[in-house]
Amino acid sequence: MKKQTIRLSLIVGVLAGATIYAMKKLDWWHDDAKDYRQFESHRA
Amino acid sequence: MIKHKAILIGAGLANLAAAVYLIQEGKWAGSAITFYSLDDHGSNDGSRAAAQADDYWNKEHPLANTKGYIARGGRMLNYRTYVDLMDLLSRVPSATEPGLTAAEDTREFDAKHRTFDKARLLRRGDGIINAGHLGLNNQDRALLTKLVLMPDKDEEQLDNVSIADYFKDDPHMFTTNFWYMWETTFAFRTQSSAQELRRYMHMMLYEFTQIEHLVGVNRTRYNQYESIMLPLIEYLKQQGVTIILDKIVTDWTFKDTAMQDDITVTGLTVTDANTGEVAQVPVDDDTAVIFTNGSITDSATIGDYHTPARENMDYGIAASLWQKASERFYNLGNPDKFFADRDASEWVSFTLTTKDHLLLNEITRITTQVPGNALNSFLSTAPITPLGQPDVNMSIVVHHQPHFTTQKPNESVIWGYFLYPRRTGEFVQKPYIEMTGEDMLKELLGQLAMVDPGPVNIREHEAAIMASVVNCIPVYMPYASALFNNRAKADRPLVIPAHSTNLAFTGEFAEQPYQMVFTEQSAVRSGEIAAYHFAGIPMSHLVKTPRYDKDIPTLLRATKKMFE
Repeated sequence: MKKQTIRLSLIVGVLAGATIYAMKKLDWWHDDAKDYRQFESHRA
Repeated sequence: MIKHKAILIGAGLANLAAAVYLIQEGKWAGSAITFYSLDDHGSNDGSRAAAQADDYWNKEHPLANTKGYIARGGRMLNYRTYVDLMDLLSRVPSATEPGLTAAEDTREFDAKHRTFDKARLLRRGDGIINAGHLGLNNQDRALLTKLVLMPDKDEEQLDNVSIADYFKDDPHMFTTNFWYMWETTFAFRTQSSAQELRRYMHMMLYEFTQIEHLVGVNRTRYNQYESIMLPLIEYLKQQGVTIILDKIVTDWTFKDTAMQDDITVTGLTVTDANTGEVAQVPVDDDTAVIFTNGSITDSATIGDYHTPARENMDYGIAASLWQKASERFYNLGNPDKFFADRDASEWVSFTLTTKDHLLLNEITRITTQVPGNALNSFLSTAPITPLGQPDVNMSIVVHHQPHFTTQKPNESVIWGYFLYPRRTGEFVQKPYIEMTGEDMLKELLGQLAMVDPGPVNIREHEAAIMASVVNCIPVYMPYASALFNNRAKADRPLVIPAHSTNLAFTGEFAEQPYQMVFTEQSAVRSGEIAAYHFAGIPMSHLVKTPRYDKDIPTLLRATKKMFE
């Protein structure tokens, strides 16, 4: 039972890690608002 | 920089939007805003043909028949993604429906006339094709997936990559129902930008899952001018905005600065389109200049039932002014990429007006759908592309009738287009670009006859249909798909370029994050950004953009769709 738990935890951990890695590669959590800061106005 | 007055060069949708946001969000007085423009419709035209026959581009080519109506193009909306356009329309009254905003007007109409295209693709021998079967193979799917998964920060990998380049090892893509629908729904050509295709895949991912029925298409009650442009123009005039028409801004004066890269407009040279008179308009320190730097209907010409539209070789009025600015500053893009490659951007359309509903009823019978249900494209059976593959011959949009407020109940108006105007017709043996309106109608009748399920073929009614014609107006647009031209990201100036103190760029040839072109949505958003900049409103106040490309259920549905 303990071995199974460890195995399952490892699998979940690897999958989670792979998912997080893929989402970072895809820039999933990109803050779209940042892209518009280049258009912000500044007082003369 | 914050300003309190503005001169807007061009009175198309993008700049009309900028003016509305300056007034409503920036709390500017309408009197602080002045437009200089050739006309008040830009590419969102819609009028009696006689009115457009007098337009700048057509004055030199008088027509014998100016009856009937013309709308050079049309737009299908999508409420789900065109959030800035719908925000804008919610801010102005409808021009045709008292008591409603322009947004309420279109929503009310669309709710009662939902789109469900049952005949998106048709072909001789098959009639209506099951377009829901996209026909993709694994290589097609892999390449499309790669596009969808490419994050925004990497899109410059597609700089100067055309769609033909991107799929060069996968010619099968161009024989799929997916491609036939995609190219004709959005007017992409194989020479078009893969970078823009990627943006489309991202923004329209939800609609990809229902592409064959165009269920997500929403429509305005009437043509683009009466349902979108006129409400904005009337609102702005009521607010005291000055709109000076028949004017062409032909040159700039910029401030000389030590670094030579500060962009400050100090004057404009304005030429009267009718008299040729030239005036200098000074631009003071408190004035913004908001410039729509290109139009897909610049240099467009029209013909009539017996006259083809003549080719106008002019570079393009707005693009000519853009060119002068880009020659002065290094970061203002490259207009030649869009306006010096007609082979990549030209197409022809036609607007057909009849005095009865015979043709309309025949099309309804053949397509099994009532008018107002979007787009029908007719596929060739013979190879017609440089790759030796079949492709779409022509497409039509049968509008909900009436399409114009002044249209009589017995009249009908149908629009169609030929995406590759140098190809030769199947029934009229000449290139589409050389066809008269009559030729184009004969071509349409031939296409319909090929897919007619019977029992009485439309050919039996040909004489009566020809006799019902009021006019058929061919239109040649050398830059109709210029906004899709193959490009690098730096080929379009940012809406607010670096080092600009008072100049903004708006419309389909300005660069902004994420947005796809040609949809009115990006035009409005560019005007919104320019307005917020000069009014000092934080960009965090912009309408929030939905990201279906980051929505798991949509991604899963799209994946499933690729295998249908």
